[in-house]
Amino acid sequence: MAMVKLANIHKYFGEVKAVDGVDLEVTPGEVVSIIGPSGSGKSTLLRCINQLETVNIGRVEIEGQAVVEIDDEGHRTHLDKSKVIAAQKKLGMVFQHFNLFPHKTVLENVIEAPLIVNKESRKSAVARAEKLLERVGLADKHNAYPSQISGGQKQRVAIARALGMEPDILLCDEPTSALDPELVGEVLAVLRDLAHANMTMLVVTHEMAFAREISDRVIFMDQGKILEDGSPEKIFKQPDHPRIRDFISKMI
Amino acid sequence: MEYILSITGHILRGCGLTLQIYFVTVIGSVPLAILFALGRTSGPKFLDKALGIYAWIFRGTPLLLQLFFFYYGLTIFGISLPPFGAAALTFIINYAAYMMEIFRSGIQSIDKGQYEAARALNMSYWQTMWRIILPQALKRTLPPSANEAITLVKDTALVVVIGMGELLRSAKEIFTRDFTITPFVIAAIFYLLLTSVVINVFRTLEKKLEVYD
Repeated sequence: MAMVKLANIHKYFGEVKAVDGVDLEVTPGEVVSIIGPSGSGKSTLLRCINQLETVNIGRVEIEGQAVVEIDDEGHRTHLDKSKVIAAQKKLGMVFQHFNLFPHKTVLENVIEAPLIVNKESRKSAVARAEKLLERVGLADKHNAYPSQISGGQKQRVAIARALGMEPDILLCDEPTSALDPELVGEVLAVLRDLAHANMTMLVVTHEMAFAREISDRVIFMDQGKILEDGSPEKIFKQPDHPRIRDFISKMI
Repeated sequence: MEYILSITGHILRGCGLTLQIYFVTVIGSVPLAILFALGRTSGPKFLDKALGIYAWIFRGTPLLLQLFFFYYGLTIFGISLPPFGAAALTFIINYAAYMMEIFRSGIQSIDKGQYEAARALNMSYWQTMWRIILPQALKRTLPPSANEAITLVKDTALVVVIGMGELLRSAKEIFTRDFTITPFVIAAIFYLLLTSVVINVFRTLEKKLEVYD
């Protein structure tokens, strides 16, 4: 069963077709990078998966459960709300600008959703959060506030926060684009570690070397469409479209 | 000295009423203002419009006039409120209008990434507002809220017009009787003490919430 299945996704912003008929399937444990020029709809596509953007047309399925389905006429299929929420809980997301909760400490950021959304006991939420923070190399920052740590550390906390909800699929929206160059490596190292631990991941990125290294598949998007979908070898070495070769040569 | 003590005692009794109105207004208007601000920022359009008109009326007319309206004006409709009830109602509705707009600006100043992060963690609307947005928004609105809290101390003096014996009126009574300005000086000291307490409460709150800046 596909972890994520997108069918005929369309998303418009007024006249602009941000996503223009995308189909995509991601299998368990697969790491898929989405690359392409800015404005090509990569981030919008990712945000359509966890409903941060509502699709205009299309169907999104998480582990076999439809979370949104809207036909060509704009008619929305009624879906069981509790099943939709259960499916959406399988998604975690990491943002370009981290979006940590500034009024909460690092530890509080990680335990917030487990406590409030999942009604987990504080003891078990804290125990898991401590393990996660250790995993991302921030065991000594529990009581720091986001304003007191570096960008790379913030993004690692954000990853721990997403993992705190024990997702099956991690969506990463340009996770290193807002970082100073010297801080990119530490975040990529954490993502690499997750990829090796068999986490299913969808990563929108401008880090070509990273995409090539960790991805099982690379998707090139242009003007709201998937132009090419293939192995990193294929996309980076001999893409079918000259457009992709141009783009990659400019990025490296 | 004995004279000062005796008139201070008299003014202090008026001060009791001032404090009652003060606290009733704070307790009544702050939660109402938060609810209204949420209504304006995330409710349906007609609610936003209606609350906009409410703010327009209550911020656009004198508090004194509103006090007259709720005390004298409502009798036309057969509603007769006791002075304290009329005063409390007027102050709550009036201050909620100002505080609503302050809280609204605070809520709207929060980055949309905060909502998205909460959403991505599957928090509900109320969980997001209560745990993530409001704590940050209320912190940002502490300075303008302090202004309102200080203004309210002094606005309580307006209730004399509906015959209530608050702080300033107690002082005025002694002035009329003894023809000395001492009671006014004492009243001024009382107001300064009250506003100092308010200022200090806000200063402490701001200091406490500074940790995460």
